[in-house]
Amino acid sequence: MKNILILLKKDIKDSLRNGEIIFFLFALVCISIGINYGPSIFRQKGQTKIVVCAPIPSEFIELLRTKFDNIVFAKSAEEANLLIEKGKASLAIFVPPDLLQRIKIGEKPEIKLLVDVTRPLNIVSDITFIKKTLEQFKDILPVRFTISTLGNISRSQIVLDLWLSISIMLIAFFLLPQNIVDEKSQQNTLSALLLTPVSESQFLLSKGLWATLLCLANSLLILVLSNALLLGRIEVLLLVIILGTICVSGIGTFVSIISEAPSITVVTSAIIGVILMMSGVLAPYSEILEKICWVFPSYHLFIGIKKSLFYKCSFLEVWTNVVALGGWVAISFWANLIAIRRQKS
Amino acid sequence: MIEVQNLTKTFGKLKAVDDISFTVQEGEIFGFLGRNGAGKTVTIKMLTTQMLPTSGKVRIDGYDPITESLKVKKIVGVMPEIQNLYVRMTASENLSLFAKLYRVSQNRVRELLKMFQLEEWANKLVKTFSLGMKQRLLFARALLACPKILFLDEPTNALDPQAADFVREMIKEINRQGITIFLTTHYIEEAEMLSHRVAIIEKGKIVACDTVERLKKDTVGENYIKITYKNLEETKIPSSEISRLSEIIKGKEVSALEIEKPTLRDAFISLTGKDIK
Repeated sequence: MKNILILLKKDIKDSLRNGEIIFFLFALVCISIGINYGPSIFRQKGQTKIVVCAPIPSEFIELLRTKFDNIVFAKSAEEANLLIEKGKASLAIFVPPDLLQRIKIGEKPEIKLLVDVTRPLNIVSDITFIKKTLEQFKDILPVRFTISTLGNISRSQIVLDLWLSISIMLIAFFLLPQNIVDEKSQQNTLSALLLTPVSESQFLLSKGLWATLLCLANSLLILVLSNALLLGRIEVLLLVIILGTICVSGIGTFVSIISEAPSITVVTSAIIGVILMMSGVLAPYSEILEKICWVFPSYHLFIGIKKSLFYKCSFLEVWTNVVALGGWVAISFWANLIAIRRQKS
Repeated sequence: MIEVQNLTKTFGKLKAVDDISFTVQEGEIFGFLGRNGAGKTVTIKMLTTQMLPTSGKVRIDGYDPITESLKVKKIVGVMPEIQNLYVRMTASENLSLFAKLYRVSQNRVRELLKMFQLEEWANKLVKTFSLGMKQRLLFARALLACPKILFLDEPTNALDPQAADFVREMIKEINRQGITIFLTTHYIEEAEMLSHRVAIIEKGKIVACDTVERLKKDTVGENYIKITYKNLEETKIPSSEISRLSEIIKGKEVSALEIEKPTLRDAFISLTGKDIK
């Protein structure tokens, strides 16, 4: 354990000295902006599940079906609220039970729209569509239209889950491989370290710990800056972040160890990193993609963060993600140990 | 101190080290001489736990580098051919890091910095160091844990004469303190100057292993007669063939006749068929 801490201290000192953390934070800001606005092109019909609460004219429903395949009818406002809160639907339309009677007596009743703003890729186009549809029905449905958002999530917190997940991926697939390549191929200091009483597993653990600490510090910083430290279940969120970091760091380390040249490491880890990032970001927007991406650790990291942060899920509600991440941690540690030992022969 | 039996290392079809056997006695400087690519570094790596052999047996002070790697690591110091230092750290930080890993006191760091004349540079970043200074720092690092056996892989490679002399003097000094030294080099004169015994490795095989004097005696005889002609051409004949001298120089203008002692280079050429460079 002492050797791991000595190596960890060295890594922290070295990263602060060469300024890679500052570069990393700058990259993080750029990526977060890109994620906020970029991938909306992937939005497709039928990917949002909406809840409709209370009676509504069938023509209106038919029109909704042209955009949304997946419409659920809730029996009560509580049920609809719960579906949104737990992330099982991204939009709910609350219609007053006495809508038609009130229209008949000349009132202009209110239709409420509850949106899950943590899915920014959907929300803008969905709301616009519903507004336009209601406009078409303004003669038979003269209603007022209000929009409320889930919980107290502010505009800056909307992409918080993506921001957290992507920063972890950046550390695991860009910063960590670069650090290992530096030790392995550029400064060649790995061979010197392995001549001391430091073992291969201690070296790997020190790197994993360095990446985990960096991710934790970075995540906490993001949460504090976004005023979202107590937004979700912090203990579940930290568990997911720690497991997810170790897991994706393990994959980043594996790529660095098996690659023969630094350039191969950089390119390979960047490709794998981008694929995993995309799988995490896009999986919830398509059922087929979600099934494919289920095997990737990034999917469980992204979903675990979203559930614990926005839907306040407990350990029991994210256990599948935690177990999947735990499995990936074991696989990646074992693969790394074999890879580093194979270097000897 | 070091026992090697039938050690072999293959990479695919290439036999980098081919069934070599030798022993190194406690307190001696053992020169491992060969051309670039002869198998010197691969051998060192197998002896120092860095690489697994394909077959064969190695004992370092009685320990097996494969199954008892930690025990071997504690008694050996290695100065590698490549300068693998943390260049963004200072000399002092480099040594301190390794001192902590070996559980050695910081006094040892100061002692080594003084011994290798790096005190003034202790707090300077290694990336600003000259090749010679880096080599001295590597040497100091190899000695941190007070090893019983020191492996030096091409310690004077690419150094200027002054820096190389410093390293050679340090090798002698360290050996005087009782440390066994395994020295690989492709500088024949260096091996001849420093080694008590020398093994010559060629294409992965050891072609000779003995004291320098015996190698010279067994391969090229005792002395040469060097004939220099007026047109500056030179010929060497073994002293045992002195009876043929008049016949060899007949009809030629000779400017000088000298008796020369054979060198390790002569032995190397005789054993491998060509010069080392």
